[in-house]
Amino acid sequence: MDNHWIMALSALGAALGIGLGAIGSGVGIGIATGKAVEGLARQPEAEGKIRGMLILGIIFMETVVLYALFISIVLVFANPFTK
Amino acid sequence: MHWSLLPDVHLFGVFSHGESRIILATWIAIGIVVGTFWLVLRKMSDSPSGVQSFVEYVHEELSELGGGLMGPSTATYIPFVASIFFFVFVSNYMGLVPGLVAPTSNLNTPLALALIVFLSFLVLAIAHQGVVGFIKHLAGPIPALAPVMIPIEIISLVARPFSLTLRLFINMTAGHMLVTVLFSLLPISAVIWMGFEAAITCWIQAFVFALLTMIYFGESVTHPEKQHS
Repeated sequence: MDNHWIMALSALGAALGIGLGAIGSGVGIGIATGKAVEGLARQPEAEGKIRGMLILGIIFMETVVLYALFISIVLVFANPFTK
Repeated sequence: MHWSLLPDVHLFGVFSHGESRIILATWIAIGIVVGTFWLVLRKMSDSPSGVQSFVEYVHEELSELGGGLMGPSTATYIPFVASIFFFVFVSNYMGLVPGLVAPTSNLNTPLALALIVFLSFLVLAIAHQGVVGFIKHLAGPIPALAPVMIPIEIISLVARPFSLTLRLFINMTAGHMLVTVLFSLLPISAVIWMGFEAAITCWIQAFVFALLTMIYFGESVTHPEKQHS
């Protein structure tokens, strides 16, 4: 009985965690890429710098959602609460 | 989930059952990197082709990026950064080969690499700026805000090895897991597309690891006055 509750709530938590986390990352990366393309359209000579900064920004935004994914995966596959 | 052709290695009674495959895969990755470089260096030609041109291209790109980030001391640290890049590159792609396991898909390999990078960063920062200089660098441009800035900077410093480790580990593990799950559910075309995505992710993650290493080294090595908080 106890274990059933833990498994059910862990599954719910894992799904909610990565689902909500993906919203933030998706929106952030979308906005960043949009601005980067806009900047490139204004000044095509700055392509190298824009690309560098875009990649760096995407790396950091991706990392945050990876933290959420990590917790979700731990809850599903290596749950520390189930007996 | 972990089917592979690599045998269980029982050397000196040290390795437990789960980890010996990963360690054998790590040795294979090291062997491939060192062997490739040895073969390339044996007959270097002025008009490179094949593997040598790939190696030179990577070296050039990393040096160019590093020149902007690390300044004049780039040449000292590029071999280290390039070694990390090639090792992570080969390790990641080993995960896509059917019989092999990617060493970076176990938590320990990315953790080891991230700890090496982080400790190197600390040693370099203290060697170049001194302990007092390093703390002043953490404090930022306004001395009055130091009690606020220093804990924040320390937290973000400590988050670095974690983020390096988790980024590499999760990208390799989750990608592999995703392809495995999709393989049982979807038609083969979806699996092939995910295979392409996994192939792209492999070198992106290797490049990201090397790039962040260069950024951290650049932060510790460049003259403090040139830095803006």
